[in-house]
This record gives sequence, C-alpha cells and structure tokens, in this order.
Amino acid sequence: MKGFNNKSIIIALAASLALGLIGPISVLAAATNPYLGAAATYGILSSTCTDTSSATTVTGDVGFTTPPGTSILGTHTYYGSGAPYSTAGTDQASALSALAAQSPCTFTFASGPINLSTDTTHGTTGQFTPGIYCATGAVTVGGPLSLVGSGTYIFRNVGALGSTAGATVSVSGGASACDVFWTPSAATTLGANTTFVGTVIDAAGISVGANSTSTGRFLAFGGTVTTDTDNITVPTCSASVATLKVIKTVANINGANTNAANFNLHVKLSGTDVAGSPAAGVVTPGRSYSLSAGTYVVSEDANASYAQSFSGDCDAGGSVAVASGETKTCTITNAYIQPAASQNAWSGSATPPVPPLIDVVKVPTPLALPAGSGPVTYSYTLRNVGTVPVTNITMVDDSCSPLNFVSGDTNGDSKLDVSETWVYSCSTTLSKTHTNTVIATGMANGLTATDIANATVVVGMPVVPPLIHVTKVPNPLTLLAGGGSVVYTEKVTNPGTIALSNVLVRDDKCNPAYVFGDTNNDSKLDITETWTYTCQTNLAQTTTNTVIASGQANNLTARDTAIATVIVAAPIPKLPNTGFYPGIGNIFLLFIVLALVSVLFAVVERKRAI
Amino acid sequence: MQVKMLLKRLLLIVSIPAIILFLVIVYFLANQSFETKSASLISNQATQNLIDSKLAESAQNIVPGEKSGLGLPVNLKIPKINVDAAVEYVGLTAEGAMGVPEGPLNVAWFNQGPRPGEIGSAVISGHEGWKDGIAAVFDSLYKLNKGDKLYIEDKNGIITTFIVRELRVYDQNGDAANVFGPSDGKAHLNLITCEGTWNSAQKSYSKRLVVFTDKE
Repeated sequence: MKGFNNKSIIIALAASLALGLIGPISVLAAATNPYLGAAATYGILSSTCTDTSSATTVTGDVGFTTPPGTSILGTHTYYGSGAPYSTAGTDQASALSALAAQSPCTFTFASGPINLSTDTTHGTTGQFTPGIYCATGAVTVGGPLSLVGSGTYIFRNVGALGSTAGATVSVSGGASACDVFWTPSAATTLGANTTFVGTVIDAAGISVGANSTSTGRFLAFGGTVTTDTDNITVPTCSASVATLKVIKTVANINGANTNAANFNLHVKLSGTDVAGSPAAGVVTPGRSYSLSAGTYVVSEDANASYAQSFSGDCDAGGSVAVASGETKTCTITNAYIQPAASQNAWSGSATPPVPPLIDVVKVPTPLALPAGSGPVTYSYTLRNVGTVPVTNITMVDDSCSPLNFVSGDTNGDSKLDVSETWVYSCSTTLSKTHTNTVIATGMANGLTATDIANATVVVGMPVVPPLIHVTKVPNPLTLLAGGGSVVYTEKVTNPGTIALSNVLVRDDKCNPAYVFGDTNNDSKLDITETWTYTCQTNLAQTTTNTVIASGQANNLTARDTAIATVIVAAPIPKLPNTGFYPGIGNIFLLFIVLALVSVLFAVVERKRAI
Repeated sequence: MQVKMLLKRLLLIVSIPAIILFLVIVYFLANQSFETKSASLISNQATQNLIDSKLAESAQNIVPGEKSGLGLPVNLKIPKINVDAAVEYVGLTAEGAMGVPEGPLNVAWFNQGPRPGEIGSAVISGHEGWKDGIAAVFDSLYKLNKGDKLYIEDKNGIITTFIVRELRVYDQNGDAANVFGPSDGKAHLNLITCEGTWNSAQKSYSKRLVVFTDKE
C-alpha cells in the first residue's frame, strides 16, 4: 500500500500541475439540465400574456390565464390555461429549484452589475464555456455573447436580467439552446432586436423587446410575459436526454454456470418498467437505456442462489438519478452462493478448498480534463490478497479496451501469486464526465474471486474527482463443517488527490466498525491514511459478502466494492441405500401356502374316500 | 357332515383359483423378464447407433468454452449392461444419506452436487434388486470394467461421455469423501448401487458398489 500511495501522490502532483491547480483548488461540480416536464413544450408560460402591438409568433405552446390583446401566431398544441398548463407551472418551479440547488458556482462575478459581453474576469471576453455562473447583481447581455462547448450553462443572478438593443447570444462548438438556462431573481427585460438563446425562468416577469428572435422558452408562471412582434421558437431537444447503462456481471463458483443473460433486468420509474425493460443482462458493453431526467431504480428478477450488489452510479438499493445529458452506469454483480448442503460436492473432505481473493485498484490519469475532450490513461493494479495463487485472471473494463498487461508476473507462471502485483493499462478518449468500472476475476481450487473498481474522470471543468479503495480480507478463509466465527478486516484508502469526507463502509452481511486510521483526527480520509474497519460474524454455510466504501469530495461521491467468500465445509452425505430384498414377496407366499393346503386337503380326502 | 362338505368345497373353490393365479403370475413374470432382456439385446446396437448420432449432434450444439451449455441430466445410457434409464433428481434423506430413485428402472442424480459434465464429482444412484424379484437398473453394474463408456444426456440434448476408471466397494456406512469429492478440477460421474448381504433388521445390504468414471 505504501508503494501505491507514493504513486497516488505522484499522480496527484501531475494532475495538479496539468490543471494549474497548485495552490487553492477550485472545486466545482458539473452542471446538468433540470427536468422541465410539462413546461418543456411552452415558448411562453405566464399568468398574463401581453402582446404589445402586432402579433408575435411562437413555435411552441403558449400558456396564460389572461390572454394577449393580439393573439399569438404560430403552431401550438396548447394555448391558454387548459391542461397541462398548471402542471407546467409546477414543473417550472421544480426546474428552478433544481437549477438553484446546483453548486458550487463555476465562476462568481464580483458584486455589482455585470455585462456578460464585456466582462473579462471570468475568462475570454464575450465567450463562456459550460458551467454555473453566479452574480450578486443585475446581469446584462450588452453585445455579442458566445456560448462555446457542449454542456449545461446556468446564469444565476440576484437582480434583473437584461439585454441591450441588438444584443446577440449565440451557441457553437456543441453548445445547444436546450442546455442554456437563465434564472434571475428580478424581472427580465430584453432590448429590441435581441437575438436570444436559452430558457428564462423568471416569475417576476419577462419582457421581450420588439422584433427579437429567441430560441428558447420564457417561463413566468404566475407572472407576466410581454412580447412585441417577436419570434420565439422552442428548441427541439432530444426526448431521450439521459443515458443509463446497466452492466451485468456474474461471479460463479465451481459448478455454477449462470451467465449474465440468465438474469432479467428491470429499470423502473415510479415502479413502472421503462421502454426496453425488462431485458436480459449483458456484461460488455452493458445494456443502455435512453431516459428522461429522473430517478430510476435498477433491479433484477430474484435468484436465491446469487448475492446481489450494486456499484457504479447506483446506490446500494439500485437507485440512480440521471439528469439531462448525463450518462450514468450501474453495475449489478451477482456472486454465487453455494447451497449449504452441496458444499461437500466440491469440498469432499473435512478440509474445504481455500478460496482465492483478489483486489484491483484503478487510477485515471489525468483525473480531470478541464479543457474538454481529451485522452485518459487508466492504470490498473491487481493484487492477490488471499493465500493461494490465482489463475485464469480476467480484467474487463466497461468502457476502455484493450487492457494491456504491463508487468507483474515476476516468475512468468501466469499465476497471480500472493507476492505479485500485476499492472495493466488502458487508454481512451473522453468527451464528457464519465465513471467507468473494471471487473477483475480469477480462480483457485475451482473457486472464483471477483473485485470491482470504479473511477470518475471529470471533463469540461477544473474539478478533481474523488477516488476511494477498499480491501476486505476474511480470517479464516475456510471453516470446517458446522461453521464458526469469521473476522473481516476492511482497509479503506484514498488513491486520489483530495481528502474524502463522509466516508461510509457498508457490508451486506456484517456491520463494519471503525478501528483506527484517522491519524490527524480530521474525520477526512487523507491520501496518506489507511482506515481500518473490522467486523465479526458467525457463519454456518459458505458465504459471499460485499462491502462498499464511499466517500465524498467536490460534491462528487466515489465508491469501491470488495467481495470475499468464506468456504464452510458441510458433512459428506452417507452412501444411498439402494437395495431391496430380492426374495419372493408375501403375496407369493400366500399363494404357495394356499396351494399346499389345498393339495394336502385333496390328498387326505382322497385317502378317506378309499 | 353337510357342513364339512361345504367347507371342503369352499376350500377347493378358493385354492384352485389361487393355484391358477400363481401359475399365471409366474408365467407372466418369467416371460416379461425374458422379453425385456431380448428387447435390450436387440436394441443394444440400435442404442449405440443412436448415441453416436446424438453425440455428433451434441458436438455441434456445444459452444466452445461455454460450460453453461450443460443442462439438467435426463437420461443415462450404459450400453454394456443394457441400461437406458430416465434420471430422477434427489437430495439428502433425513438421515443425511443421498436419496435413491423411487422405482427400479430409473436412476437418481444427486442434485446438490455438480451436474454430470461439470467440474467435480456428479453422483448417480440406482437400485440393485427390487421387491418380488423384479429386475432393477443397476443389477449388472458390477459387470462394468475400466474403459467401458456411459453416456449422460441433458435436457438440451447434449450428450456427455464418461469412461469407467475403477470400481470400489464400500461398507454401507463407509466414508464417502472420495465419492462426492474432492474436486481435482476435472469432471467425474460416480455411480452407486448396493452389494453384499441383506440385513433384514437394517433393511439394507452390507456394502455399496461405486463405479468411478471420468469425463471423456
């Protein structure tokens, strides 16, 4: 572990240098689109809709309770206060809350009014990249404003939003009107001839200057929207705004041979299967679902012979929240549970076979690509934390291939010996923030060991994601028939570059207790620390359990999983009693007796008659 | 005297049909046994041909490297001793012994161990002898020799071939560790039946015959 931490430090320094972050580290989270729900189809959503002089054209729905004097032109599915008007109002409020909850700000302007077109403090003048931009005063688009790059833009300010006459907001480099949001706390007033982009959510009221052209939405449910010979087009955004990828892996032991396709997976929203669900599991590259933003629950049809655990972006219960534009990955791993009565089938003696135990760590370099798309190299470190050499090693990454073996098989026997550390490497190009998963498996004594590691790389923002790692070692690895006590020791380390808070260690069949490791008592898992947990339990049968360690930094959560199996021998069956007495049965005896009696009787009678 | 005559006639009425019935049953059983053996002998070559054709079919069905192709076993064929038996599935009895098939003609696979063809020792039991002298599936198990072949067909129609390695006799309560394991990383199929002398008190034979086989 010491060597590993040294490596982490080097990586941390390299990452810091690459990011220009020596010194105070700016900590930011990736902005995401909110769920607009019914409000998504409205170009204007208001209580009072006013069209000042001649007609405005809206390509999209128009909602109001007080109509404009001059009817809004254009193509609308909904016009007025009929359903889904009120639902759209509720969804507008939810979206605003979701936008307000996103933090921290990518950049916070100095106090006072800000002209986005001329500001030089945030970066290139007149140009913004995706992120959350916060101001404590009024914000104005005072000329050309260019939004460059794929991702979500949130302009949040305390005060009014405005534009000068003829101001233009444009998108390029992958930026989309679907992903731009303006949330001022006071009224919005756009000048005449403004070319505008994005969704304004402003219940204080929105006034669009004459002859303006907008690609976006003006949402002021409860307030007034005023237009004047304007052209407003609701952007056509993909209905499938988020991607959820579900990877299914199965860790079999000896004779068990169920594969991923034998498991029926579900992805449900509010208890209802989404399109494409249920479906058979897929290991690589997993099964992808195109979804609207929301919180989904991944599950599978129960199989009592397998212990289930979630990793990746799902929580322990399979729940995952996806926002617009996000791609999230959940991995469901099933570990075979040997039926207690059948353990003799492969133990066959008083001493059960020793199971293998492996541990994999994955570290990406760099941890963040603040300038956007770029190459990432993952380094995988595989160790044998058990007591027997492990064969048939496989390493599968859900989104990077090929994994190249670099070094570690020092004696060249193709076995991961207890003293060896095998290193693999894989390079790929990431265009957006991504968490990927590697699954390592190996075999010994006819038993399988599995370990899973996750790593996140943040793209498009100078955010350093957290990394966490947990190893779990049971003592003993085997128990004689009848079972006994086992002590699990979990060691949690931080292979990343920033300290982790809210460290949690959960085990599905035991309750780990913290023992020591927080050397500076700051309740944070520092990169130099190893926190040790232990857990004692009694096992009566072969048991596979899973521990998940999680920790947070920069509003991101890192998770790691460790799986361990303890083999409990069971009594060997007695030999079967396959015999029946093969002699003549009772019914035959009865017949014979009757026959003999009748013959005897006949003889006696015959003699008498003579 | 009349009563005595009546009793005499009654006894004759009962005993004569009894004798006839007995003779009929003896004839029927003898004939059936003969017919069964004749049919087995006639079908022996046909069985082997069928096995050969199915083996060729199986080879096409199995995906290389995919052990999961093995389904639950459904049929056991041992051409040498004319065994062609359906497979029942059994676990452990209340006494902790492996179960046995319900009837004389079927065999029973121990469903808490590996399937035949999987790594480990799959175990199948069958009766030797049956009530009233009826023939049972493993009556001739002792006739197997090293090198003899037997075939297990699974529910997917996949046939797995095993070759006899050795025969071993155990006491009825002997240590069965080598029968149910340990695993040497290879697939085995072990057949068990009874042998020895009948113990009326225990309703069991004194020995068990185990035929150890290895996957071809």
